[in-house]
Amino acid sequence: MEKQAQRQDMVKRFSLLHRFLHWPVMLGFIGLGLTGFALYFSGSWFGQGVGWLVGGASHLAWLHRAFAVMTYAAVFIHLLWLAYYKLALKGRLTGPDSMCPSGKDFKDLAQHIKYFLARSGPPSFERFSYVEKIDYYAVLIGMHTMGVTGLILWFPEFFSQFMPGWFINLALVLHLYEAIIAVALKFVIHIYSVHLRPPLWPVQTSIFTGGMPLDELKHEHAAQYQRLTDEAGQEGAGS
Amino acid sequence: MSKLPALIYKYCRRTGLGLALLVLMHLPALAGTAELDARGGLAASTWFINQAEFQRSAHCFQGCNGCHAKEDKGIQPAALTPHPDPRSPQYLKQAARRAFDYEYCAKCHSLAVKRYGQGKHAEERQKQAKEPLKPGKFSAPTCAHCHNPHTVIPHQGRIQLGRTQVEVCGSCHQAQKETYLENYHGQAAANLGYGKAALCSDCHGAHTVVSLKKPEAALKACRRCHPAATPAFAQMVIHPSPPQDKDDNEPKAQRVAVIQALAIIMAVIALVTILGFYGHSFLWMLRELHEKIRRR
Repeated sequence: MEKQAQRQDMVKRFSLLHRFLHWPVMLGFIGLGLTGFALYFSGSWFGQGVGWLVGGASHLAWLHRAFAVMTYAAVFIHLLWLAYYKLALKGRLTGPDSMCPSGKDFKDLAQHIKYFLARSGPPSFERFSYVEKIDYYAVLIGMHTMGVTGLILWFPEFFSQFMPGWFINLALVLHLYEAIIAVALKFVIHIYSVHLRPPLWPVQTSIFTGGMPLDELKHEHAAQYQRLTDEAGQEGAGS
Repeated sequence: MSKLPALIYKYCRRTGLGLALLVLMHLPALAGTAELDARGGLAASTWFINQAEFQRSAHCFQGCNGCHAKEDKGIQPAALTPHPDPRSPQYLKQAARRAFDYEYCAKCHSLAVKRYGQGKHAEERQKQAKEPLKPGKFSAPTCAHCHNPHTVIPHQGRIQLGRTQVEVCGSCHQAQKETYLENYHGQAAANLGYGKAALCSDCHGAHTVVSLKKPEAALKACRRCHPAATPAFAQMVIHPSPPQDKDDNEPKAQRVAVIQALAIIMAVIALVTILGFYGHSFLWMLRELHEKIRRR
């Protein structure tokens, strides 16, 4: 009985597919970061250590490619789901319940900065705040650009049929700096915004459980909470 | 309080595991770096030969006379530096010179000497014999510049040999050594010990040392490992160091400029993005901590 009562207090945030897809992306990203930087900074203690742990450069290279395939497969399945959601389920890709960037995100950002400087109260976020949207698009777009430069580095002989060989050097430069940005943001900012934030410490579990308790939703996504209670009130008035 | 021992045990076990992992990760780095001294060659010439080292070297069975005897070995005495008087107090302080007639190496290493004669180092040596050495340029190497005959180690593995090679070649070609170690080939072969990745001599030849500035020569070198390489593939820049003579290699200089410009742009983008997001998160943390403490 108690469990049922708890369940009723949860608001659904992620479907089973999305909760599952977070695992390959998370594990793949950690693996990609470890093996990739071990390959590039192979002269440092970090590269020597990781290289020794996995058994040499060839293992590092193959693990890096395997993690890349796994992570990209998760992103690709997500894209297939998007198409299915739009075409078969006739779902909405815009609006307050979606990941679509809106004018409200920019207003939220401005108000958030005012809030940091104690000039205003915290902004009331919809279902996905601008921080979460940035996290999402960083992976969605980043996996494609990393994928293209990574494929050029994986099959240089094939790609040099279409482009001069020194584009491989450019691909390496892009791959390296984008990796630095991605790791600096995902390994620090994402960890901060789902683990270290004082209201959420030690961990925000909604991507694993799929739900968020109502009182947390009231604080974290006030606009969505307001919208849901308004809808519930209208339904109550109608019946 | 009864939970305290269990807590301490749990904490120690976690920290211990972490520390053990940290030590394990450092071990190969600690063990791997000390070995790379210049045993391959290029140590300053001296009359003093460490017999313990010499006895371990590949030439130990030759003894001194195998190479240095004046009689009946066909060496011109004039080519040798006169040996100092062992009874003189200045005996070991006199500078030794590299005056050995390296043609004599051909008695055993005929193929290597023949190949050396066809390479860039020998060509440069002939040029330098005609005109004086330009300032800032190294004198062209002969055998012992790269292979110290008194300490040369026999039966080295490919990676051990390759790591020594990077140091020996790099003692004159410093920029090429650095760029090689920043390239995938150097990272895999020299840093991580991957035997299939190319070492200096795999592209440039061991004794027949060649420059790969000509596209056809470069393509031929690429195709030894990458059979499907196209002429465009060989345009890849392996040593993105500024070429010594710009007119000599104009297309490469332009490519290096573009690559370096892109790296600078990407570095600026990375810095701005990271600082922006870190600042955002830091302010957010301060604000929320402040609220949490005030609410108490």
